[in-house]
Amino acid sequence: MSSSNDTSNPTSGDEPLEETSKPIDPKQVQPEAQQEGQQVVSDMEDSFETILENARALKAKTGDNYLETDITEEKEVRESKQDKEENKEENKEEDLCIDAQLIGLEDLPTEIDEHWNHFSTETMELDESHTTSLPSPSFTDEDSVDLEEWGQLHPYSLLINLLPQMGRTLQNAWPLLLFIIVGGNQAHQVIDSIFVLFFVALSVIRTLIHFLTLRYRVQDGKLILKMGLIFRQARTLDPARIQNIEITQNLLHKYFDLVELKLETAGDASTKGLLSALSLKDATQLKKALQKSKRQHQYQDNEHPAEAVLSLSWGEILLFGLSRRTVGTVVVLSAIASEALSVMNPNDAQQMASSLTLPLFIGLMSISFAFSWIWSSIQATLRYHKLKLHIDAEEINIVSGLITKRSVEIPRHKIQTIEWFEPWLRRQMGFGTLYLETAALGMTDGEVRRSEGVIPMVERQYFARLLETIAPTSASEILNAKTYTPHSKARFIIVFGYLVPAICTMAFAWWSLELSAVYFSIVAVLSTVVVLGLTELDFQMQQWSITPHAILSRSGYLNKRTWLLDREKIQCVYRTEDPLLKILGLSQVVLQVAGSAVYLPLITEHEAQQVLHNLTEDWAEVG
Amino acid sequence: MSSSIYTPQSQLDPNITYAWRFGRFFRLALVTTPFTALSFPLLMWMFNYKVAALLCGIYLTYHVVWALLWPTLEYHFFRYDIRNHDFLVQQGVLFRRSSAIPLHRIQHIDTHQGPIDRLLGLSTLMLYTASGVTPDGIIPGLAQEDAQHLRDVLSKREGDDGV
Repeated sequence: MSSSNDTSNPTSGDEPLEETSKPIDPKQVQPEAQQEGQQVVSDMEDSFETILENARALKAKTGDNYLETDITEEKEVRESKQDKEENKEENKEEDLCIDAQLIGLEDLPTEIDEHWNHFSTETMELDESHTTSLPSPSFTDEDSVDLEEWGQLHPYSLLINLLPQMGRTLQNAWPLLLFIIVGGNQAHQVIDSIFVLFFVALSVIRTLIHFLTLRYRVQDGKLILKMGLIFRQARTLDPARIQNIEITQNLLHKYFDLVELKLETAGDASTKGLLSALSLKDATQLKKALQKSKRQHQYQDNEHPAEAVLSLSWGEILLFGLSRRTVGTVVVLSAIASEALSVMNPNDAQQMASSLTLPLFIGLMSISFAFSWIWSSIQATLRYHKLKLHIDAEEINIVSGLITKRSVEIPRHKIQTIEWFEPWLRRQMGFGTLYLETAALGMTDGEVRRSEGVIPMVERQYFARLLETIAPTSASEILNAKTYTPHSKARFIIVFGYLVPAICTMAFAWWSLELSAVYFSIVAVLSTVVVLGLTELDFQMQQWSITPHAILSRSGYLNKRTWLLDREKIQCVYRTEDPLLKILGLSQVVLQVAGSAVYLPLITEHEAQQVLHNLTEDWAEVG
Repeated sequence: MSSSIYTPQSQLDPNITYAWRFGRFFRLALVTTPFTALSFPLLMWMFNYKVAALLCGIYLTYHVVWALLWPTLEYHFFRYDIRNHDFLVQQGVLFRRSSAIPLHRIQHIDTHQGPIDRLLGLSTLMLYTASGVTPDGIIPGLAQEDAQHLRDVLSKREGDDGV
């Protein structure tokens, strides 16, 4: 063409497309050559069409064949990998030792074996199927880092998502359901049914659109999700920001061999409910790609299923259920009962109240306790059945579940605080619960997100060892460090926490049960003794300590909690004094981390100032 | 030793009290007074004249004190300091709070300016860390140029955000 302008950037296409894609600068075109210019333009329009046709052909080609070709390829690769894994069984011991040296805990594998052996061999023999039922990634050097094409949800996600979605819609429309069932004439019922069907249809359409439009891909090391038809959304997730990875498999998933992948980050950009039904292969591939882009160096040997550091047996899970939520449920049941009493017909209420003798009352209480125990045991078993804990150099992996199988992976350096929770009953049994909290906590969409890293029953004697495995830098020094107690006047503040339930009990005794003066005074004296006793016990249990790397805070007697916090994770710190604290000369120090906060016991103002001073000095050195 | 513990010294711009007073009077006139006027008959109907008068009186007095008297006290008790490695903020009259925010944990900084602030040439600085949706440090009543300068300087720093 006549253009003298060669400042074109050739498109990154194939050879035949190159010559027609050079742009022509209109200013450079000579007036005489305008006819030629027009010729150029029409040529360009023609070639544009060919470009578009080629592009469409390319897209069609990759789109159609993606699923088919990759499945067969992947099968072969997977089978060869399984052979490799079997050969690796013999090298497992060696590998563990190699890992231990790499993370600086040389004695770890053998010592763990001694203590945990009886757990792990038992359970591992019984169910190999469980350990291998959830994907455990293994990768080699030849895998590509990026998922080149856009991945899709598995078609069966329609079914899997449909039921929960419909359930949620119906839950939200429960008043309508009530009206349909309870009353109204025919016309009302028909209209309400139409409404409900409308909502159900909406949820079906939502599920359909979600399945059809969701695409995911790993590009430049970041995960990109696209969804939506009319309102399009795109979400980008940086693997370095992922706080934990959870793989879930409920019954429907299991039937079709699918899994749900949940990637949680701090803030709102998680994938809860989005990647809700991927085939095992797709999920593994995605996880591999994300892990690959996270890691700078390749730990080749890390991906065999590490031996479980901790496993839970049936008995322990039952004990966990028994030690949970008993008082709360009973209180709720009593409240409901007293409400029902007040609403009922006065005659019936009087009859019931007069027949409420002491044995009957005790009987009712026992039944409600038993009911709450059974209920929480069932819940605990469903959630924590055959829980196994794996710890390797980078991550902590918790696998559990009876009907819905869950596998939660938390990178070690993402743990913000560790909470060690020992309610009174569990403490007597010799156990406690470990919560690993990440930044993916806090409030989102109006509901509180609780940490997913939960180990419900850890024996107290093993707690220190487990803590050292999880957080080697801070654990040993903090557990052996000098602890400080709160100021003695903190008792006045602690007592407020117990006054409220005590007053409620007394009010209940006075108004609802209508005890006589003698009985009421007995109840009052008992309540006072209990309140004062619990306050003192709480006070004795409160402790805190501070070391160059970590901070510990402990409080509570009935619900004893210990927080362990790495100083690197502190976002900011403040101390508060309200008028009451000011009068007593106390101060409350709060350490904020990503997603939650750790409160120290009440200490004097001067001590609080020193704590802040200590921390700010530390920052001056770091910064 | 308390002598080695540093307390922040800088105070806010004194004009901030006018901004606060104006805003609070506004609220007093538009929200509190109508609310009291409407609830007085309701309380009179529920209880008697004395109880209604007492409750409404308390409510009104509280808000009047909050609008008239409190800004000077808040100004008096507000101290902040921007050091090399952290922010120190002390605030509050009855409910006192002393915060320390390390600079390398600051995620982003917002400046905020209402209409009165604009007239007075002031703005509010809000420091956000990774610890939540609400700002961890709020410094109202900074001169506009100072606030913008701070924001620019601090946004150029890099730091590991400890998440």
